[in-house]
Amino acid sequence: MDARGLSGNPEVAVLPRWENATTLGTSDPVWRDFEANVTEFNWILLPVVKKREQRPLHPVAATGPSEAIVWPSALDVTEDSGDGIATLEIIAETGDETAFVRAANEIAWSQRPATDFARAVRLALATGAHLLARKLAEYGHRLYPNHQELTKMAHILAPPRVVRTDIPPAPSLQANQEWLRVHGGEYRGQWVALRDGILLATAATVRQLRAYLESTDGVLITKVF
Amino acid sequence: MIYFPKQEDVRLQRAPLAEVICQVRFPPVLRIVNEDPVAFQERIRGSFPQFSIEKGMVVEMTRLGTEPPSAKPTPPIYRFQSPDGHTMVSLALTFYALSTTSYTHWEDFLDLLQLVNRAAHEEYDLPYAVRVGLRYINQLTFENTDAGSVTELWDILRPELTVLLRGDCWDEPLQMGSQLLLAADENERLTLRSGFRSGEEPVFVLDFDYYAEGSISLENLPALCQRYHDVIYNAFRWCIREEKLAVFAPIPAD
Amino acid sequence: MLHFEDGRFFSQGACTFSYRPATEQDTTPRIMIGVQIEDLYTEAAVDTGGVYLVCDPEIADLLELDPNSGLGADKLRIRGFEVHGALHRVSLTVLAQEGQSLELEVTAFLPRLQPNELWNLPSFMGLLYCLERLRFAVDPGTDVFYFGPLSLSSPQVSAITTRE
Repeated sequence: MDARGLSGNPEVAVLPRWENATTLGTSDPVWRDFEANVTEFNWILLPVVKKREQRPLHPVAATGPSEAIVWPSALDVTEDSGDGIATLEIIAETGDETAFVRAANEIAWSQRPATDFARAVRLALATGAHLLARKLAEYGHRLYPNHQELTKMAHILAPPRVVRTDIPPAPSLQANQEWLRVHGGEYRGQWVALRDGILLATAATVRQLRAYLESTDGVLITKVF
Repeated sequence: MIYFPKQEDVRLQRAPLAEVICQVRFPPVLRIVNEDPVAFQERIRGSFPQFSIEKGMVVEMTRLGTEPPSAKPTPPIYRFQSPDGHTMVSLALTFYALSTTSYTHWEDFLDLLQLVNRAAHEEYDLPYAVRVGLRYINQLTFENTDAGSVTELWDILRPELTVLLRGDCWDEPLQMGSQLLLAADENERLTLRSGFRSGEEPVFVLDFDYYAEGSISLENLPALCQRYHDVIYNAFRWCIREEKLAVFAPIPAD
Repeated sequence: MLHFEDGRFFSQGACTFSYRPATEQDTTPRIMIGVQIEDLYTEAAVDTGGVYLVCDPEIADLLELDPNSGLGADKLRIRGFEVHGALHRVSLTVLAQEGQSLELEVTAFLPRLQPNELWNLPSFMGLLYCLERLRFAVDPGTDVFYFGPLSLSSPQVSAITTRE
């Protein structure tokens, strides 16, 4: 089969459109390096390296206003070729969270190295799959408890934890809110510092405000909108 | 209609074949993608022991990019490869295919095709094919033709295929590509794609794709493909100047 | 405080909230309550559709968190928007006027603004990664926000609850 290498980077390319060709369900390796004067559509091709075989890409004929691109990612049934992460990279570029989660569920994570977990967590965050990011971090940390990055990820992405439930109430809350309700309009767009309903300082930025304060203990710092 | 002169099949020691594909498309068979193709594999595993699953994603982008792209998975394609990796059977929701990059002779390919067809037809009870295609993709290079220049390379081919490359008003063309679609019969077509690409390794591509569409019985697949092969072979021989056939080291018939 | 039918406490603390637009451009009022992020007393909007405790960058600046302790991200996608910043584990205390305040350890997103980029939002408390271990309820008649930990059974229980 065509052993032409594929770069790991996305590239913009324009391919000839051989419609209704006898194929293997993917593209024509022989025609891959040919350019064609197709001015209607441009595709962003994210080549996927497949173990022992590299198959380039081909466009599918459009059936409407959108153009579909099909590209393969191989998952060897007995040995993970690493292409699953490549697929996630591709999908992460599109920002399609649903597809990302679906693709991640197809991967046999128990056989993946720690670096794959770490990469997948970052991709999940970039795609907006925040819950998946947590699950991957958690699972990866369980499999690789000594991996520093996964330990950090698992810690940061863990569910919230109740630390203390016995903290006395803050009585100044109401006074500060009352002040904001009555006087907030006069300081719209400004940062204000309040203690027990008394205005201590105002400023355009928090840093400037902080400079006016001896201490921030018990001081509400908020921006008035 | 097409009228390529009939040529006697001559084996070529240095055939410029890059790949040969036979693809049989059928109405979707959901069982193929919903179950592991265990029984099918057992039938062909002797010749195709290596197995992998190819999964893809379809990304749809609007023409004007007015909406964010969306991606969804495509049905898997099962790949079964020979021990040397050169020959492969592909099985998917709507087709099976036999392909090879180390084509020896038609009889060898046909034997494998019959094996695969029997396995697919019987395991999945395929009612008929909606498209049967046989494709020969040739790549003529300096290496497999001993040509010393692009002109020598072009000279191997009939002038009809290279006339644009030899225009009076230009030299050293970078690339050419064309597709000729011919009606061979009512439901049968021959696509002749030719192309040239210059560069460090110039290549001239001759891509023959003979196919039929409709409701095609799979009982006669071998005979059908034999006929397609014969037409393609005659077309190939027509494309090559008779006096230049020697570059491919034809093997004399016993 | 609010109770379940069987007498168990639903909430352990309560505070009044401001119901106002979060920004000048915002037309939708938000529930704004007093919170403490690390040692800083400020306000944050309750955003049940959101993710993380999203800190106003200026507030984040004041926190002076160690960059090495965070998870820097080239980009995160939040609410469909691509943002740059870092994720940190921080202490968030939901402040009560009655009952008891509640301290949580949550995941905070600290935006890293690009040059000339402005941030015109307050700090937001999303459900995922922030409020998901909280029961809370709103009484719009009295502008009171009730809250309590998921594992609360009585206000006398002050043991540290941890994630299973």
